[in-house]
Amino acid sequence: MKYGVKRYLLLSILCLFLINLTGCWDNKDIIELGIVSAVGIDKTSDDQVEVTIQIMKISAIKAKAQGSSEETFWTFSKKGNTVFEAIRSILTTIDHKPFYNFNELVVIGEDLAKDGVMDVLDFFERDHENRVQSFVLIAKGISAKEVLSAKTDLASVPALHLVETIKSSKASTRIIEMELFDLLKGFSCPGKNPVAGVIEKLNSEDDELKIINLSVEGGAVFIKDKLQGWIESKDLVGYLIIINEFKNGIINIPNPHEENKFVTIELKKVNSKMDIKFVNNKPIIFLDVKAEGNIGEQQGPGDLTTKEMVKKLDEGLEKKIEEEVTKVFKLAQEEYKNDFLGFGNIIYKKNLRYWKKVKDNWDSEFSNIPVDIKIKAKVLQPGQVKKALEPK
Amino acid sequence: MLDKVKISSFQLAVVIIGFIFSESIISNPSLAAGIDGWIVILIGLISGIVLISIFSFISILNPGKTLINILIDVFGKKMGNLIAALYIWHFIHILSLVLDHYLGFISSTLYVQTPMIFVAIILTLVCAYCVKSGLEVIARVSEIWIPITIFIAILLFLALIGRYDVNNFFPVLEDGFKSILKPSLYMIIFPYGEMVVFLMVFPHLNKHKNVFKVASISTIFASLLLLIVTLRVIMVLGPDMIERITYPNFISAKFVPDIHIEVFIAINVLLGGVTKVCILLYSIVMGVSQLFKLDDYKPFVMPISVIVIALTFWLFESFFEHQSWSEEIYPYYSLPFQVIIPIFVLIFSIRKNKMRSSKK
Repeated sequence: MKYGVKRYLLLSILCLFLINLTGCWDNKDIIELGIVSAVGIDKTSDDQVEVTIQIMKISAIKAKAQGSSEETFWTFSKKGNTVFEAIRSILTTIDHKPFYNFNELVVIGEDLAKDGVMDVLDFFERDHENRVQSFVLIAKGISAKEVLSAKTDLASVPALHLVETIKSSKASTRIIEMELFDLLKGFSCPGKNPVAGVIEKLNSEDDELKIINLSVEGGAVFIKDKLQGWIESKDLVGYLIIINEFKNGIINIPNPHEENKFVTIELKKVNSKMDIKFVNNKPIIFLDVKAEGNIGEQQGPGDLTTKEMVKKLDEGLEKKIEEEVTKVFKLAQEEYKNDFLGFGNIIYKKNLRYWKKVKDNWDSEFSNIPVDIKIKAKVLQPGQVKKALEPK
Repeated sequence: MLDKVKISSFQLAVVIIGFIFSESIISNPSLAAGIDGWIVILIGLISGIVLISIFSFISILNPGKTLINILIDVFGKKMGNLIAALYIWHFIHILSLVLDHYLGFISSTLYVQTPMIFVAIILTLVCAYCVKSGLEVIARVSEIWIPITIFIAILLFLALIGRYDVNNFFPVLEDGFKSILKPSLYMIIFPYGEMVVFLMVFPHLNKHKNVFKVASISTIFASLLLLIVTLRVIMVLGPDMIERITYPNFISAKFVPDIHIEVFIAINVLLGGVTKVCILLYSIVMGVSQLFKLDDYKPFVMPISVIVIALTFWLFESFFEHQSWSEEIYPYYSLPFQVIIPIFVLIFSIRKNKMRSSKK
């Protein structure tokens, strides 16, 4: 009898322990949370930080799939001296506690970026709820608040639309895919300044700003943590080749048969290697590029599969890549005088003694170093037709 | 009582691995050297092997005796009892520091709003139950948990391969050997020096002559695991970030694509942590009962646990206090307990053994 009572007591104590398994102390139901999909940060005229958050309306997302026209998101903005202060003051307006664990995107306004972004990004690195894997975009000629309030017809939530656009950088050379963590790493890396992705407004007559009127293209060049200038999206090819981040993209070269017509080459594989060499105790930037591609499109007539023509195509491709690369080196060395290509970092890793000598005025030193470019390009395949059709 | 409890070589090895590896996951001492942390681990391993051989030879030369008996043997009755009492205090202190470390980690990354005292009580309660059930239970529990810990460490290493940047290792030794000297010396006391508590456990090994073999092999294995973790952190986070981030290992696990796997780090900490807390708690209560020549240590488990929890909350008011204390004072405080007295005891044991064999 006594044994039985003890057993029941033990069993009930064990059941009590089950209470612990329901979750954390501060657990909340998903419907009680406002899931933040994007955060935008701007600078106001009175030197304060304005934080905009985009919250997904989960019920409306479901309704939209069934044809409802209700908006699927809210945006809220609040000002504060620090990001955390602004984010906390959002609580005075909305009933759902914003939940930042699924934050996919951080948009930074142009004015703020020019004054230095580290004052606002520290919060994203420090707070336990934030993800450092969210993508970063710099809003060019438009405020981050406007970007986040733009509506979308295609995806369920605008932020996810933008994120998918950024991810298409795998097939496009006009987009820079930059995570918050990589940006922070870029700031802290010696001899290298980061280039972040950019979102800008296209010209349109619509009154209401839609996401279709925005475009994720180009790059924002930083010097330390301050925005210095932009790289235009057509120049990004060269930049991506130099930093060896070129994944897949197209390049137009003139048709050897007819100079004013184009042949489009789809570059499948581009490997580049930057190095430092010393000639007469003077450093030289040495860039070695190896590219392989297929013919993607041909304008104008002519057979491109003969031996001479393939050689001419290879040479044309090499010349074009050299043009693109030189353009970016000029931008870095002459216009911006800013080593965003990471050449200083290579010196830091390979020749520490020289780096310690030049690191204090590296950016001016960098702009005087001659560049030696070696390119080897090869066109491999013609695609599904060997010869373009000639109308007869 | 001492003769009855026996643990196997494998169990001892697993306990040692858990002991070294668990706390080092969250506060990896080698990362103070930044990207040269892997060199620090390799240098630190040498000191670890030296220390573990000191501890295990003390145990081999005094078969069937725990640290308390050995101290009384070496220093005489009065002095020996005093030093033994100081050792017990030192173990209580280490245990509080360990708990504070775990609580700090858990409360700043996962259970942010849960009161720390709640986590502390739950964790200690489990460990107290474990210790009450005896050393064999601690060993058997570790036999289940620690292989999971090892598996998780290797899994995380493989899961992050896509993120690795080998260039992060360069430049090697940017500031010369000076920058790695201090972290390497620090590794003598943490994690290796704390293994002095195993002098309370070694006598229970079923094949007592294997102590050195088992202890050294498992120390090397645990250090290699630590090396894997360090390499992963360096290759994912790169320079500067490692030194700035509070829990680099935890943050680096966040970069596994598409899944939130960083909780595994906390699982590792807790599973290994149970072993570490259990071994320390066991050594304390065993030491107390031997000091007062009692037959049973079980009545002391609960009171000591309460003292430890109270001490944990009383010791430091903030993370910063703990950090500066463990950097500035802890090495000098623990050096006598973990290095100087053991060396003295070893010399004395060798002399005594020689005298005994010459008499024969």
